[in-house]
Amino acid sequence: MKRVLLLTMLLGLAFAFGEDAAGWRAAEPGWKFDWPRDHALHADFKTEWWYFTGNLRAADGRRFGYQVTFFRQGVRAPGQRVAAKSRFVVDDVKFGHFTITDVSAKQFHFSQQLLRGAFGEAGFGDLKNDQRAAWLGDWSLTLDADGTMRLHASDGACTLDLHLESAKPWVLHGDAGLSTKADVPGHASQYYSGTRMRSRGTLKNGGETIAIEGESWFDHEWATNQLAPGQSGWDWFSVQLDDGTELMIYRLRKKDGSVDGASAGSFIAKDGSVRHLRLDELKLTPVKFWQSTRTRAKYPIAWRVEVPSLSLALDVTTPVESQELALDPVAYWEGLIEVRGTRDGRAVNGHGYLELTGYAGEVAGLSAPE
Amino acid sequence: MPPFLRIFWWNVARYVRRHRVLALFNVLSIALGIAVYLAIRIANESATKAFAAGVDLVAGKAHLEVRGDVDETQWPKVARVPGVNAVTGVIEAVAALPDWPGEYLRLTGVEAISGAAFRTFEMRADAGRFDIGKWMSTPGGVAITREFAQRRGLHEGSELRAIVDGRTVQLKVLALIDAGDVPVADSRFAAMDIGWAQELLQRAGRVTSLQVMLADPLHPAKVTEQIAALAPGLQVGPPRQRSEQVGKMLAAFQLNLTALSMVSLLVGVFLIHNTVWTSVARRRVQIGILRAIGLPAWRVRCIFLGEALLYALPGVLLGAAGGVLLAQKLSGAVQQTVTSLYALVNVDRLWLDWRQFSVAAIYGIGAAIFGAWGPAAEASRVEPVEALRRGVEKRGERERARGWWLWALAACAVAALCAWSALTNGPAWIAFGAAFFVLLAASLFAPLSLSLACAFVKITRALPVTVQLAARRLSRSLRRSAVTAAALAAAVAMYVALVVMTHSFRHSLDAWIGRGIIADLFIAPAANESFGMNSFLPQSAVDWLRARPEAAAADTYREMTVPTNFGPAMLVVLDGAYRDNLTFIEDDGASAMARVFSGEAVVVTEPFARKHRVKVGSRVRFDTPRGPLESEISGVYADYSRDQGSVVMGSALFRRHWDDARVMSVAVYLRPGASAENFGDAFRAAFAEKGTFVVNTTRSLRERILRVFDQTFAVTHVLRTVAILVAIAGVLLTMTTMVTERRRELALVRALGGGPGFVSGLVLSEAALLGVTSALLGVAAGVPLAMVLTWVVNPAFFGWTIQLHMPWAALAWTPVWILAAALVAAWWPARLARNEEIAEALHDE
Repeated sequence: MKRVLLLTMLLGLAFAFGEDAAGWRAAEPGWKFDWPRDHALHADFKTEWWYFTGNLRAADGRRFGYQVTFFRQGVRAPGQRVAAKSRFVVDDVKFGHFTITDVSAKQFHFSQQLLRGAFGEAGFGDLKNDQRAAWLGDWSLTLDADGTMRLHASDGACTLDLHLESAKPWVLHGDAGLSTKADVPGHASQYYSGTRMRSRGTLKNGGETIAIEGESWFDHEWATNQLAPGQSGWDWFSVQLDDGTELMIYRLRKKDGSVDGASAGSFIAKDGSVRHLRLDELKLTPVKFWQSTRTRAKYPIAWRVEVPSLSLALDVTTPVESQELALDPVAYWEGLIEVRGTRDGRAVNGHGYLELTGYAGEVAGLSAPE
Repeated sequence: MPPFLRIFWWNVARYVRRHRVLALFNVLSIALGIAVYLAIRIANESATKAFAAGVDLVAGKAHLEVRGDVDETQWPKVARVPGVNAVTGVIEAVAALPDWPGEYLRLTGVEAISGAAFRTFEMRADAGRFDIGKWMSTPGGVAITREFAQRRGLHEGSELRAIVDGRTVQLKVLALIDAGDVPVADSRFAAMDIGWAQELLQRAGRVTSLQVMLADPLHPAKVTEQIAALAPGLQVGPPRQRSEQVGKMLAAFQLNLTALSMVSLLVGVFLIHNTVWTSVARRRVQIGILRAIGLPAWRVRCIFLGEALLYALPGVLLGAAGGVLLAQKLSGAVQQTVTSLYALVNVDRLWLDWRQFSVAAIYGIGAAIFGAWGPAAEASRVEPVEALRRGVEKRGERERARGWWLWALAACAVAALCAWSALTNGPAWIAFGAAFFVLLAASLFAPLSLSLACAFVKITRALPVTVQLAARRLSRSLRRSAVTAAALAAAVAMYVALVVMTHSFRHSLDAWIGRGIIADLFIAPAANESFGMNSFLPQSAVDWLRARPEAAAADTYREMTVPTNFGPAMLVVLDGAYRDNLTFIEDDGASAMARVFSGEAVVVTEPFARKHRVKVGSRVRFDTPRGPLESEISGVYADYSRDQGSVVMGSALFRRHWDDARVMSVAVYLRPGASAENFGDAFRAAFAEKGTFVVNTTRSLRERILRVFDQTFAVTHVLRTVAILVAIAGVLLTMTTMVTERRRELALVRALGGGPGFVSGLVLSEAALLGVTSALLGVAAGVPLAMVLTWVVNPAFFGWTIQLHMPWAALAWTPVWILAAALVAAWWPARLARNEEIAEALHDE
């Protein structure tokens, strides 16, 4: 869910997308997930994204974090797609974000791309004729025949090439992949993740090419109706623990300061079984704030996360405080985190990604449908 | 107050206050000159700035522009050129709005994503944020300026009918355009998604221009070269270049208007000269006293220059205000002319800046100082002893025509020299030198003319005694009367010259139309008539016209600007056959046109040939999308449609090098017996659904061309009227001065038995004599001035030849109505003279 909001927010950089859902297919129960078909685009839904974050390590011990995202925002509903001669009449807008966190150098680097794809410079493949699920300029996500993925992103200063292989089955969030967003029917998305993707490749940072390996988190979600009015932002956690389990939590904040009841999470056991977590099972406490010098926003970058029903208690911190994507007019914080704590009384460590939105002013697009 | 200022105050300010009417006329004369000059300048600059602002609005923050009808596949190629930071495409068209006759929108297809970095305006939706999803998915969705929306009562969600290329289409307002970094200078600007714009215009695959941002905008040369090398025929340059080109095109037109406006200022110079001269003559005694008490000569000069400034300063202020008001009236006419002759321009607001006003102030003050210089110098030369001796003051008035006419002859010689130079190898502006020296000669002939006129009256004893007396008095005050006469003569000369020139031009144009426009019907999208040639006829219409059995033939026409070795040039593309309808200069048109239609050669218009100094046998090189094309010029023909000239090419050759078969209008030749009216109705009936077209008959087209012509010269109409008004004001001024100055003398006439009627008759006679003499001199000078304008200025500036054609009736009437105007102007001074109290006036004697 949080990604839907993020999508709207990000597009708010330049303009907003309306909430007109007419002609688009809504996410409903009973979707039969089938891979690799479902790695490809779902053009009948209005929005869709492929989202990679990960913790990587070089042979010499240096650590890096990354984020690569591909977004699709539909502009013409299936019923509106009359044949046009102009190549500029397209069905969707393509855009993405790319970040690299250099932990030892304490440096954070980000860039974004937004393209119409009129010349085929950006698009989404059906994985039949084209092995690329998504591409955006020279950024791409390619699926190989053996089910593994290749990710490439570059912005001149940094170039990332990764080969990803899922160590666990795909995880379906919510109710068998239907992630409900609100109490109103139809406000939901189809949502699955690769919660532990073994990653190996190279990172070109400046003039240096570094061999890297580590673990990534992959989200793929498509939907049409999602936004709930009155929300001011959200906090999202993805955690990979060293006991072979993973945790995903999102906490939606309302403008009145309360937490939205739709907030939820998933706990993935070592064997891949998924347990859905309701809001009342979660206890999230911010313990440290960092203020951006660029946007003056104050982000809660360290947390105490407790899930009593799982006997899980974690302290979330980050080695690099400044991981803010200071984009105009909307900025957000998304960065690599370190996790220490206990599960069932035993010490656990881990890493992951934290996303904090709505701290640097109002999140554009959220307030519109009210 | 310092002593000198006190002296100035006592001598000038008090004097001016006593002669308020006189002062008012002086102020008004300067004000009028300044107002006209300023109005012309503001109107012209507003037009050029409006055009430039339109270019800027489309180009935004681009450093370079790839122009012409560009194949959109060049876009990614341009984006890959090293040194290019960003590229976006733009497609432009004019959409007429039939619901408001005469209204239109400049539709500009923009790419919202890549264009965001270029945009200087903002698109806003009133009900929430601008929705790009809707923008990209709504066919016919537009963003219009807030100003336009308010003017036409439109809002978000409004639908409006528009006509593009003769087709009726539906537009929907999705957003309003607000000023971003720069004000949106053109209220008729409308943005549209590039995809839907291509669909609407049926121009998939093409863009009007690619806008380019550079990594290093200060050094664009290398990137420019690399982009130009991507494909043949790509025109690359800074967007500003386009406004500059239009600016250059307009320069000749503007120079003409500005030169005309200077004439009114020249008349102002004469008036100031006259007034200060009177003031000096009247105050010789006071000057003598001032000199006797030790005031240095240069301070005396300062006093009289100061007097001129007292007229100039309020004159400039008044003129500035009047100029802005007049500019509002003029800018509509200038906009019409520019759109008819050069490029579509929409002047929403006047362009005012301090430079215009400063220059106007300098001109006004300069003119006053220039006019007062001679009399002020004369005052500074007054010897105290002489001035204080009674009777001597009359001496200055007993002047003769002296050697002025010799100078006049010299001016004639210089004028001839300038004309010769302008017509041969000299710069074009020399043509105005010729006009100036003709005017100068006319002014210098004024004393001689007045002397001759007075002498003539004296010889002709048959005239009434009032006239005889008036002639005597005029010849006695020759110097001052001559200045008034010179001013009036210059204004009349200007008037006559313009009348003769426009008459000749219209006559030549009419003859050209008579020969050139011979088809039975001319059919084009209606927008082409109102907003310049920007729209195309649907191919189905062309096919329909050609297939009709009543049509013997249907010739097609289109025009576009193309790059050539002479710079951007207007290319006219014809499809059909030569019908002996062009007037070729010195060679056989039939064979020249045969070569054009067979694709072997091109012909050029006379302005093109003159401008680029080419002749039959010269070659023109075009940069076409398929590479360079060199073609021989097989003929030069007379044409008045465009002073920049054009090149005519056969459609077969054009289509081989440009992949574009669209046409802008069709000339239909009917079979004998077929009715043009029925044919036109049948066409309208068949294509009423597809859009709005104009179907012109030979006659209506001729009328239309002449209407455009008359519109163009409407501005000169205003100017010449103003010049005459200023000059007539001069008569009023001179007569008023004369009456106040000689109240004693006039009272003496009354005392000796002349009734009030006799006295006013005297004043009126003097004015009549002055008026008639000036009018005759003006007409005599106006004819050679007209020759300069038609034979020198027009070929030198516009490149076309006009046959001189005299409007005899108008010429004959000129002295009559100038005489009438002079009498009307003298009516008030005559009344003043008649009502003078004899006893009081003679009290001093």
